[in-house]
Amino acid sequence: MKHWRISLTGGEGETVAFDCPEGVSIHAAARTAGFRLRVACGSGGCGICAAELVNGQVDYVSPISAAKIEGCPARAVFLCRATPTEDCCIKTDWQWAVVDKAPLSRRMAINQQGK
Amino acid sequence: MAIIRLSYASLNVTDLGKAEQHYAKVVGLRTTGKTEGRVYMQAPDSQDHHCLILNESASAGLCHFGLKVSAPEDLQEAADKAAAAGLKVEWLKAGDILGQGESVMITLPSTHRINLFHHSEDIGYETGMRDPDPILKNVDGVNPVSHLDHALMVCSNPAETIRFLRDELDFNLSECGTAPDGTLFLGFLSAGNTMHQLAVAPGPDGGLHHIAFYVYDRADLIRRVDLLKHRGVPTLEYGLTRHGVAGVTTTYFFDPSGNRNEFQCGAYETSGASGRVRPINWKPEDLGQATFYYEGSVPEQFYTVVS
Ligand code: FES
Ligand SMILES: [Fe+2]
Repeated sequence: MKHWRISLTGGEGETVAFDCPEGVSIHAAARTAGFRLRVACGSGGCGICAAELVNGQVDYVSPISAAKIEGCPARAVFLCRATPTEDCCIKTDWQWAVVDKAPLSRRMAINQQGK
Repeated sequence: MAIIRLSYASLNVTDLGKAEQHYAKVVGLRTTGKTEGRVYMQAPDSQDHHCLILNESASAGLCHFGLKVSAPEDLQEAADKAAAAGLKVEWLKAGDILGQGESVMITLPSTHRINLFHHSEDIGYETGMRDPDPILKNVDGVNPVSHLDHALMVCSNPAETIRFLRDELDFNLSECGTAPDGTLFLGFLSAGNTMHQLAVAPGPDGGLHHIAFYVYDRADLIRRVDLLKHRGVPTLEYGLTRHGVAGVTTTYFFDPSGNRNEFQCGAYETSGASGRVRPINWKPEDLGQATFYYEGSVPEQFYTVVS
């Protein structure tokens, strides 16, 4: 399976990069890489996940709502269903959250260090 | 003027097959008819032809709401009132909508359309009309929902639409939100015996916030939240919670086109007789509690996410 590189710049100016397999949504790939994007319906219908495609090309894994994307600036993509067909640079005016995978083990590690 | 219930929601969906699958398997509706690009579905506890119409479309969102009136003459009366209010009125012939008699389509100030009809084909309860066994066959993990309960629409000027529904179509306002200057910005309206059938909140004109299905009890609702998570159906941040408004137990999720659904139970009963029961009033600063009683706050996305 082909993998493309996604570089994502968020609302606070920070940039992160991760791989996204072709055919997998950027939202799902970000999640695997540890970033939770601003996604609500996850189904292309609300537009809350809209971002600007600065470079690259995307396709959609399933349909998105035409009325919603028409209301967005040109080069807008809905990350919940967009999948890359080449390397992409994407900009959002919102900030993602870091997925806290194992807060308990992290706390234990910190306690160990303190000893 | 006697509207007797919110009868159905007609939704636009971007994948008809997936939508039908969702409303059949996740919600528990039965398919009652199909025409080109359309699927009609109904809950087990309603005898009318449909409580949901799915329209294959390039966009998600609301097509229109269907409201049932008690007498055929009510259609002309509603049409006259809407025309007098300067609203667009359109007549639909019997059969334009499968299983339904002639109807009058009114475009509300909010740009949402409501379709008033009197006759619906009678398909009976899912359990049958003669010596029924109360337990449904083919129950898929959960007890079925009972019926389509209510819907929340959003628009830029809720007061206008709330007033038309209340003052012209005789809905009763059971709960509302009022700004310090007295402007109505939130309204829960009913024409039946539960506290809301249509609700209006601020947002972009024509937006659909959610349609809600009635679940019998809290235990069912908890089980349904488990299944939503287990099946990977997109949900809001909150799992099971409770609204201050109506006091209902609730959970939200999305259909495969991004239209929001709700399972809810426990709305109180009240008279839908217009003006006969005083509305509860919420202040803007108490909306956190009004919306999510347990959490006491509203995630930003709750009101901004609409299809
Ligand atoms: S999260 Fe709703 S369109 Fe992407
Ligand atoms: Fe609701």
